[in-house]
Amino acid sequence: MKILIPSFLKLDLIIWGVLILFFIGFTIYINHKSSNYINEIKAVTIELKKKLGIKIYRLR
Amino acid sequence: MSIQFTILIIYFIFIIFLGVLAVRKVKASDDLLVAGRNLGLMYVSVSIAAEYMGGLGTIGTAEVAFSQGMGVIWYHIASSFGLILFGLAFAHYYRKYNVITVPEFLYYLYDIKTWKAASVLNVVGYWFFTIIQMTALGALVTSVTGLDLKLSVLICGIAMTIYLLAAGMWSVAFTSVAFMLTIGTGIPIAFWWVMKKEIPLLAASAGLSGYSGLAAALNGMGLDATALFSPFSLGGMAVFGYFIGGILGIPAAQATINYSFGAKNWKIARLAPVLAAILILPLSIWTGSMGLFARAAGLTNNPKLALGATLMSIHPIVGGIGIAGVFAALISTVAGILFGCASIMAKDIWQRWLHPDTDDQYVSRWTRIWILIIGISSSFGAMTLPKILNQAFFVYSIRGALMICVAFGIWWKRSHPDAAYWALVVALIGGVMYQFNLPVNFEAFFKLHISVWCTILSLITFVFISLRNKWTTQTSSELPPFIKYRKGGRK
Repeated sequence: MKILIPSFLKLDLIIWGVLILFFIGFTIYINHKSSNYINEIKAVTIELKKKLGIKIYRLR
Repeated sequence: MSIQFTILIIYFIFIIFLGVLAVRKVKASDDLLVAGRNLGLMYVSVSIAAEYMGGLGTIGTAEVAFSQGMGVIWYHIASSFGLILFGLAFAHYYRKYNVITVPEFLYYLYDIKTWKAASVLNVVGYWFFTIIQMTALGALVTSVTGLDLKLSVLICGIAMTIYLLAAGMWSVAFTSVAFMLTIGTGIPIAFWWVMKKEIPLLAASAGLSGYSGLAAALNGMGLDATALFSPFSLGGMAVFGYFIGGILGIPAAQATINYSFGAKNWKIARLAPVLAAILILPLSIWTGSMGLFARAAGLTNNPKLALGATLMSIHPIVGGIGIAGVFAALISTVAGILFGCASIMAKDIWQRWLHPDTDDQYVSRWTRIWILIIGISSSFGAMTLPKILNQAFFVYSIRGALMICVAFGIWWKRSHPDAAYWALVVALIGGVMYQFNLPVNFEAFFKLHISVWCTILSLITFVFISLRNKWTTQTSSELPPFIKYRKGGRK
C-alpha cells in the first residue's frame, strides 16, 4: 500500500492553505482601514449608549 | 546523566537567561502587564500560539491519535477557528477600550459587580489551572530525567517565576520566540526522524518509510490503518466538542488573548491571532503521527505515554530535541496562565478594587509580588495536591459564561448587567453540581460535557434576565475606582 499523502494530511493542508489565503486577504482588508477606524467605533458606541440611557464614561 | 536530560537542562538555563534579559524593557507597570502596548506582529502571534500549544495540544493529541486515530487533527483546526474568531470579531472591541484584563472589559460592557465577580472567578480558575498545568509539566520532566515528581515541579515552578518576575509580558514575549522556534523545529524534526528512519525498522512495515510503512505496521498489529488514517475517525460529536472548546475557550480567555492587549496598534491586535492560527494548525499532524507510531511499535499500553515513549525510544539527540519542543509547549502555557492570573489579581483585585488610590510604582511592585505568590504557591500546590486535577471543573464551568457575557455584551443591545452577573454565578453553581453529582449524575443523565452544560445554563440565565430587566439611568451607575470623575461631574 503506497500512501504518500493520507486523507487527514490532505485535509489539513487544504485548511492550512485556506488559512494562509485568509490571512493575506485579512491583512489587505485591515491595511485599507484608516488608523482612525477605532475612534469611529468608539463614536458609534457612545451614540448607542446615549440612546439606551447608559452612563457614558471616558473612553481611554 | 542521559543526553535528553543534558539537552533539557541547557535549554532551560537559556530560557531563564532570555526571560531575565527582558528586564531592561521594564520602566512602568504597563511594561510589566501589557509590554507597554508595544508588541509587534511577531511577538504577539508567537506568544498567543506558544501559550495555546500546551499539554493538551501535544501529549493530549498523541494520546487521542494512539487510541482513536488521526481524527485528532480537528483539535487544532477547531483551535485555529477560535483564534480567527477572536481576531475577526473580538480583538478590536477589547482594543477600543485599551483594557489590560478581560474582567475590566466586562466593566465597560456591564457594571461594577460583574467586574468584581469576573475578577474573582478568573483568578481562582486560573490559579487552579496553573497548578494543573504545573503537574503535567513536572510529569514530563520526571519521565525524561528520572527526578522525583515533586522536585521537578518545584524546579520548573521557581524557574518560571524568576523569569516572569523580571519583565512580565516582555519576558513572555521574549521567551515565546524561543519556545516557538523550539516547538516548530524540535517536534517536526522528531516527526521526520520517526517517519524516515524508525518506521522502516518495524518488522511489519516491510521496510517502507513514511505513512506507507506506518499503515503496513498498523495493519500488521491487527489494526485497521484506513480507519485510523481517516480524518473522521473520532466521530462528529468529538469534532463538535473541539469546536465548542475553541469557540468558548479563546475569545474571553485572559491567558491566551492578553498578548493582543499588548499589541502596538489595533491592526496588529486583530492580525496576530489569525497568524497564530496558522502557526498552531500543523501540530497535531506531527504529534498524532508519533502517537500512532507508538501504537504500531507497541512501545506502551498507556495512551498518555504515547508521545513520551516515542521520543525516548528514538535517537537520543533527535528525541532530546523533540522533548525540548514538548517541554517548550508546556512551559509556555504554564507561564502564560500564571501571568494571566497574576495580572488580574494584581491589577483588578489588588490595585483597582482594594487599593485604588495608589501610584504606578505600587502597581509594579505588587504585580511582581503576586507573580511570586501565585508561582510559588502553585508549585507547592502541584507538589502536594496530586488530586487537584479534578479542579479543572472550575475553569470549564466559567469559561463559557465569560464568553457569553463578552459576546452578548458587544452585540446585543439588551444585555443587562444583572444577566451577566447571574450568568457567571449560575455557571459556577451548575459546575459544582455537575462535578459533585448533586442531585444526579449529570454526565450520565444529560450526556453533556461540563463546559457545554454550564454554557447552556448561563445562556438561558443571561437571555431570561436580559429580557426581563430593563436599563434605567440607575443601572450601572456606580463607577469603579479606575474611572475618575472629571471636573463638573462628567466622566
